[in-house]
Amino acid sequence: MSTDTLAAPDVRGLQDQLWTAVTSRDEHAAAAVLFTALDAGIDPETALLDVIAPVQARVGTEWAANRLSVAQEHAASAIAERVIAALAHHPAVRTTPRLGRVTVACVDQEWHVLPARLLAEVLTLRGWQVDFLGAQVPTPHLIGHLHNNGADVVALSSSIPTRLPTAHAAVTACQAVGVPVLAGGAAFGPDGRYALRLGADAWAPDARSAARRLADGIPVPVPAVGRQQIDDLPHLSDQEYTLVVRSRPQLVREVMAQMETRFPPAAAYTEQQREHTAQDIAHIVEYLGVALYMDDDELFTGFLTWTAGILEARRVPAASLLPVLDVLGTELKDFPRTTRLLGEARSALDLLAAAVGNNPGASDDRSALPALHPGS
Amino acid sequence: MTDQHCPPFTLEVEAGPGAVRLRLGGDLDYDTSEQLVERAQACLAADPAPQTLVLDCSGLRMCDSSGVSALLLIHRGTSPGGVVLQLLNAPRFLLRTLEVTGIRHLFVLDGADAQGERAQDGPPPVPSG
Amino acid sequence: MAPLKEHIATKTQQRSASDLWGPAPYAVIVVDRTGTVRDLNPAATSLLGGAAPGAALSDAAPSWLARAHEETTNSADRPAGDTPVTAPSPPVFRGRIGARSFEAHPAPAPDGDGGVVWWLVDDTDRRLVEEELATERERTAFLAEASNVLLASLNTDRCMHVTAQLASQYLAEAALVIVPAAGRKLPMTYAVEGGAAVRRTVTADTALVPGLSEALQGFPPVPSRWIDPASLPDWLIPEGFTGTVGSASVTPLPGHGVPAGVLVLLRGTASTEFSENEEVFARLFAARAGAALSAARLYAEQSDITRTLMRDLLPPRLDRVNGVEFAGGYQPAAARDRVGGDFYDVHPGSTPDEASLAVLGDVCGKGLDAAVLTGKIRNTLQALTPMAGDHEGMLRLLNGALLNSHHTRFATLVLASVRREENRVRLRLTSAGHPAPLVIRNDGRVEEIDTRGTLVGALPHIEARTVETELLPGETCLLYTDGVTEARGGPLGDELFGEERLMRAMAECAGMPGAAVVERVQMLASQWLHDGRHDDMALVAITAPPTTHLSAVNGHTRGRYTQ
Repeated sequence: MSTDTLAAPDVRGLQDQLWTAVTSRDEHAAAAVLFTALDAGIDPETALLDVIAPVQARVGTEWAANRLSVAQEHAASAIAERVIAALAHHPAVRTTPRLGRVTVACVDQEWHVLPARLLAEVLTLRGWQVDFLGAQVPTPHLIGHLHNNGADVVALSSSIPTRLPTAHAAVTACQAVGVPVLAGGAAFGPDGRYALRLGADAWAPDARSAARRLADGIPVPVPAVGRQQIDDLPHLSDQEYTLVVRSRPQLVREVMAQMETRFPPAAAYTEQQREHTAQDIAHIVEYLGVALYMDDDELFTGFLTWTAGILEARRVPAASLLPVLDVLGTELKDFPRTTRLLGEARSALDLLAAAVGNNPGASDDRSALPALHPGS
Repeated sequence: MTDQHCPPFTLEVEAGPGAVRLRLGGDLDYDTSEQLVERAQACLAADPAPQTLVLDCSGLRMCDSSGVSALLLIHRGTSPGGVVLQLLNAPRFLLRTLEVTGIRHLFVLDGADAQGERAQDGPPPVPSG
Repeated sequence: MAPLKEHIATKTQQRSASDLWGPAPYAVIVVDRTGTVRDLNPAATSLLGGAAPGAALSDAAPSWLARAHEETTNSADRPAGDTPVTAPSPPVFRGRIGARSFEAHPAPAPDGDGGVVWWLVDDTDRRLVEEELATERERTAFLAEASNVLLASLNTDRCMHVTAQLASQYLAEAALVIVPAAGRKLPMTYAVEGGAAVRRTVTADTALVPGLSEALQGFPPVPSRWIDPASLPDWLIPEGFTGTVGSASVTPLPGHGVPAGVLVLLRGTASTEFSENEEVFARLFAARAGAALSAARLYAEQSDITRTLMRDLLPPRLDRVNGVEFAGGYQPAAARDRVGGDFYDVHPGSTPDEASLAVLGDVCGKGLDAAVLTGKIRNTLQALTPMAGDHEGMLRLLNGALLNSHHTRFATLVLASVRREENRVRLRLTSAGHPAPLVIRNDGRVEEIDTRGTLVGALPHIEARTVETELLPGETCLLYTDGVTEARGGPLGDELFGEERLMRAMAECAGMPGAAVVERVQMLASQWLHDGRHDDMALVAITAPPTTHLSAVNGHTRGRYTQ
């Protein structure tokens, strides 16, 4: 749809202009970049997916590399969102729905709204009637919306893997009212494997393929009465997921208590550093939980190696994660799947440490594990 | 490996000469404040009526707006008859709530934390359990 | 069995079959290995229309029995046949003789020469019962599936689709669901042979279809045989239905006291007409479809009412007003409730020079009572906006309006009069028993605005102190309810989010757009909760737009950008 409108260098130029505008928090300049481009005849879908989306992706990677602050990252997202809202009023963007009706929503507790927002705009451009429910939609609201307004399909977005159990509940609930679900977003894995495992009817890696997938038609699921999470994920019957998730606060306390003996600098932490550390440990336990839910090693090791990367970018040795794994290993030694996951994670970290070269002593001024805000 | 449960709301009554003491424990909220009001009103309706109604708050863990509403209702019951309404051992968060809502002056405050200093933004109360 | 039979056979070798099996309740034929009938009992003679010994079985009996005989004698010729003790029990053959159905059981003939004694057992009645049972099972399974599918959705369109689809798959070639007309337009949904359902509206006279208007009014169904398929109007024949309608049935979809609609079933001339039994079955299906459709309609009506009522209760979308950015965020306590005790409003100044009034508050209690009180407070404050120059006076009037001798349900709130002055924003802030507003300065300091006052609605006398402050471009003043600070959770599970944490989080938000501040605080608080139970949370950010925007505010981009 956009291939004939703009040459790559032009798109690159617009990206650079938009990047400058959003990182200097200049909302008007950001809007002006896109309005000028639209006035000059750029295809609106190109503006959304080849200018705004890559700039947003860059915001994320720059934050991870510690080159953007949390505030800048939030400001950039807020500006992008307002610009998209403003774009909807441009004459080039007005369309009348002629295809079916799609509900676009983020799963509950999912604050990362932009991918869903972009999809909603693209689908509107392509002629769908779109109900955009926004970020963090509680599943009962989503189902209420489906009862009230109906939909041919729900496009469900989630970027954080820890929301997968919630996404699972949403997928099952939509299907139980006879509406198929297309899942999208980083949470579902780079190849959509988690979407498949949770029983989603379709998966798409990006807005364009989602639009194509919807255009192909997604068959209506037969409401399988009484289908529950354990039918999709029979391993849940071992209760490891339940027990780990429910004992999260106790696990965090235990790790905190033992950290001081295993990681001497921890004894000198300020109150705030302790809290950051506790949050990070809680986050690790959360990922352990979701890896148990999906029974997927990669989910946990992937998160830990990513975390290690974030730590290194902030001059904290990834080895500081090892005591956390050790304490968890001792506390949860009776759980075979958990033990396996912790073991895999440890090997991955050992490999990483060997590759990076150990750099003990260097430390961030906040804590051994700076807070890794899941929504950022 | 067990869940943490909210401590239940507890209410104990000790009647002494001229004074009734209600000992509060746990969460005073939407679900429990009515119980407190009923008890307090029953105490005030006793013959002879007490001169002082003491609410011992040392075991209180939380007090939400319904709890404040309950305190106001009890106050409404004590003020016409000149009964002294005393909050004993009010925890810091309760003092802070009374301060913010502008109703601290309605109660006679007594106890370790209530030495007239205005509650500062301290760390949140950490329950002992 | 076999040795016993042989033993009997040996003893009675010399006697004729008619003597031996004469009184047997079954027809018995003895056939030798060449296929010649050797003997019959009277029952067999009469069954086979007077066949006599010496006739070829293929002439005397239906072909299936002759084939069965061949098969039996052939298999007996095999070497394994020598050991009858371990031989598997002989097969049973089935077929019709005349109008009835029989089972034919072979047994070795007493001649010991490979002949077969055929016992013919009439199983017609059992067959009928079995067939009926199978149909009944299929129907029960269908009804169960139909119920599952129908009950899954509370959406009326979807219920109509599913009904038409299922009916066209199992009950007839085409099915139409017609619901009572709104005016002269008849909304209907049809499907052909289980295909996708199509929704259509026709302007038509229901009286032209026998039984249709009666069914729509709740009269008993008209039997199918009374409906002349040739008389059906064209609009009733769905697209995709090929051929001629051979029979039609019109079944009411019973609703809650009133009919939910009508199910019209059409069959082509090639299919059988609707039997009485099938009509009864269609009614069983229609009862389920009608119940589902009525429930969906009831749900739609209820949620329409709720939506209308809630429209005024939900917090408004906030935007830029007279050169000041406003952003709001609201999270009701439970996922199921959308209204609670927290609220906010922005009443714009009538001219750009006049201050706008922002209000954020928290009503004690929850549920409908709280929502009603919230509505009352919001309406009263709106009426009082002309006196927004005197916050304390406004609060006194509000307090008087809310006082009630029966309860002490109160509210706490913050009033903020907001006016743009050059590139700054002037604020007059008054708290009535509410947590103090916070201001994020550009240098990252977070200031608590020192306004104090009494909650409203419970005490005869209240006091309040108004505080003035100013926002530089990029600075934000945040009003919030205690649902944010009283969020309980955190990594250890039972800590309050607290004011200190809120202020620390806000310090990171210096220079952020108001909407981003609101979102960040909401996000941190709900992550703190970690799926835990929480109270309503409401936030309003008042932001002085950054200086870089100034040139554009009155520039040509403003119109399309700020709308």
